[in-house]
Amino acid sequence: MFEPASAEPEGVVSASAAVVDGPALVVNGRRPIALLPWLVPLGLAAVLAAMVLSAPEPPTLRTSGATRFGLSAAARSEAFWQIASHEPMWRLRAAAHFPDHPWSAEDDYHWNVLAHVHNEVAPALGVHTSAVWAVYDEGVRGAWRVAPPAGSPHRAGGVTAPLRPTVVPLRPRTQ
Amino acid sequence: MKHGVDGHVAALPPSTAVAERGWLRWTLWLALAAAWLWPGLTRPSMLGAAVDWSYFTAHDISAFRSLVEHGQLPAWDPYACGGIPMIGNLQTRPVGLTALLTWLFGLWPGLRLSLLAMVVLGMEGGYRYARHRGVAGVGALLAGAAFATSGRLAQAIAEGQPGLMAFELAPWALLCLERGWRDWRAASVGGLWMALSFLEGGAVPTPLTAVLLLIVTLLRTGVALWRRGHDDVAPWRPFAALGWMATVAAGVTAFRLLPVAESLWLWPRQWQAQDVYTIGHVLNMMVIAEPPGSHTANGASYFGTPLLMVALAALLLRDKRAVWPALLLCLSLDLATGTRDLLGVFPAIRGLPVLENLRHPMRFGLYTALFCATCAGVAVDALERGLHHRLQRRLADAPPLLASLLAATAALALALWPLSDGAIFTGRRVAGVFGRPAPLLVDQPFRQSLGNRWAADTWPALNLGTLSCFEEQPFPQAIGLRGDRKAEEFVDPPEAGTATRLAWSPQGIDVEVALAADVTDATLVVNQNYHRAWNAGALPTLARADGLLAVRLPPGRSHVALRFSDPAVHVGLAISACFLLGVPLLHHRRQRRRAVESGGDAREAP
Repeated sequence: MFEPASAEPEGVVSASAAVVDGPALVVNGRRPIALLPWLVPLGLAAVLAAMVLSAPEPPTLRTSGATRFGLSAAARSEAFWQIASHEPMWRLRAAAHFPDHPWSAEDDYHWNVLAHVHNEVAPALGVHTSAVWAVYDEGVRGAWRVAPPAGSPHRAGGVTAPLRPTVVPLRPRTQ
Repeated sequence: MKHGVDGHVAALPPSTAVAERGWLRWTLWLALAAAWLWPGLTRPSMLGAAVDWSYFTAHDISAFRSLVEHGQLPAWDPYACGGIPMIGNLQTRPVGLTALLTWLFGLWPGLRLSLLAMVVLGMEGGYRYARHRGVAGVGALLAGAAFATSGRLAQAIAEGQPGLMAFELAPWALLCLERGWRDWRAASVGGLWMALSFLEGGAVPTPLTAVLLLIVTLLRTGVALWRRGHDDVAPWRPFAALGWMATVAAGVTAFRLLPVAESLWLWPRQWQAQDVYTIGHVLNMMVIAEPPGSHTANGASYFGTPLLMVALAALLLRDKRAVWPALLLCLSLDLATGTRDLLGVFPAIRGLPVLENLRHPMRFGLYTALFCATCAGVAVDALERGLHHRLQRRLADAPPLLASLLAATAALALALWPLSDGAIFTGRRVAGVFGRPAPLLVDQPFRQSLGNRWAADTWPALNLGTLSCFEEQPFPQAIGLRGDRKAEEFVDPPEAGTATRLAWSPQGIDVEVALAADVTDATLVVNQNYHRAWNAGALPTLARADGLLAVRLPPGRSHVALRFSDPAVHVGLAISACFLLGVPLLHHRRQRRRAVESGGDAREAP
């Protein structure tokens, strides 16, 4: 009832047997020339692989020099300020959303950072988001206390505190 | 046994001669899979925007850096959460087909080609399973193509969960299990497919497919008991085959299974929510062609009404080949609801050890797609056989090829209806996924950063760790981690001496330490989480009070060579090697003994 005995045509590879035997190279006494048709799928696979490999590669980020990460020092400073100046507001909002769960509040805060980087900072600077994140790390590591550049409409915001470079663990490790 | 529409046990459908040509079939699969994934193949460095794309790509980049750039087994992931196990983390796929392809072709091409490979394997697996169930020709081709391009797999791509593509291997495992009822070698091969599923899919496809295999085994055991004396499968054999498959799968993947087991024991996956759906909701996911807004929305498991209708036709034709897949289709539907209201299989499964954290039962809808596609294949096959039989009689004077061509064309037309409906809908979903540029890879000295878990893939690409992170398991994070340290390795207390990094890799750090002359009690601290597998040769490693990894230093100058060397991985590797070598040897010896006993044919009697 459940095991239909399907007769398989002679002279062809048994699909079911091949599961056990693996890809049979010579089946039913075939000569090796019978393997020539396999060049078709192999060729197609090679073409597909070549197509994937020949696709344009992402640009690389310069990590040194005056235009580090593709941004001048002033642009990097502005980018960092664009993020850091929003921190107090985002932290307050996150704490209000998750008053009893510090990890979730931190996570909510980071979501705001991401949205700002992706939707505001990177498009405004015309750079890849990776460049902005690299600047973000540079500023945090350097504990940048930056004021917005002279002439910036954000100048009234004053000097911002650096972002907190510590962790709020979901499960703190002690010993 | 009734195969044809008129009750006649027909010969194989004419299109079988074409479909059985492996080279032609694999060419077809490659072409179909490439068309389905097309925009993604032309732009391998474009990713999806969903959060999980970032999360899983981060793990893939970490594994790539360790495996390809440093030539190390990715046992430890220093890029996530301040350092967590990688090979012991079920969310990763550091060793397997994907890792191999990234090693061969580079990161982005390798990741994209692994998607292609999985879809192709799914098509061939679906075809072979249908073939095993007595379906041939265009019907079996439909089964393979419709399953491998079904909505739940498109959903996995849309959501950025490439590990779920290991579901494509499910028909192979099922096929080998069913063949394993009569042939131990098939059960061994099935174990290898499950092993690959575990290495590629980890947390989700492996247990779900295991549940499916368990249910199939229970059913077959019931049938064997019911037909005792008239069945060529002994009642004990289905469970023995499943047990052997599980043994081989566990043995081959021991190098990963042992650290995974340890990590799950220490930090169990937690999932409190128990999602349940009505049968109507589950069916809407499968047949309503709306761009789904979430993984449980209408269309999220789409395979389409046409496929369902063709599958129902197989039952209306009372074709016995459809009984088994139809039975499994009903069971998978019940599983997909997750409720107690119908058969209640999923709640019962969740009551079993290890499986209590199973979630998202609607993913069982993927197996519904497989069995629906198989039933549809039965209907197409039955049409082709029946039509061919009648045309042969009516066109007795015409060349035989004419009847074959007409029957095959009719079958193809019927098969194209559900296939075009399903694959085009899901293909459009896949086509719309790849719109976000991949993070840029940068070579710079590794250090921990504050990071951002919502942009998880950015940090390992920048060769930075991210302290802001998320994992399905509550891996502990040291409270002493900082994302602004001037040096990632430093002496504590600072005035006791200096530490200079000589070399860094994900699984090893070399540091030159010089302590002041009068210092006898100092440690080298690493800005990473402690793990018992870190060792520094003769120097003792320890977890500081703030959870950071530290090494107690000898007086004076010393070279500290920290290595992540997990005994669980080493023992597992030895077990895996034994299985990979031992199982083929076992079968070879068994085959030779049988050949001697039977005087020639070594194959087990079906």
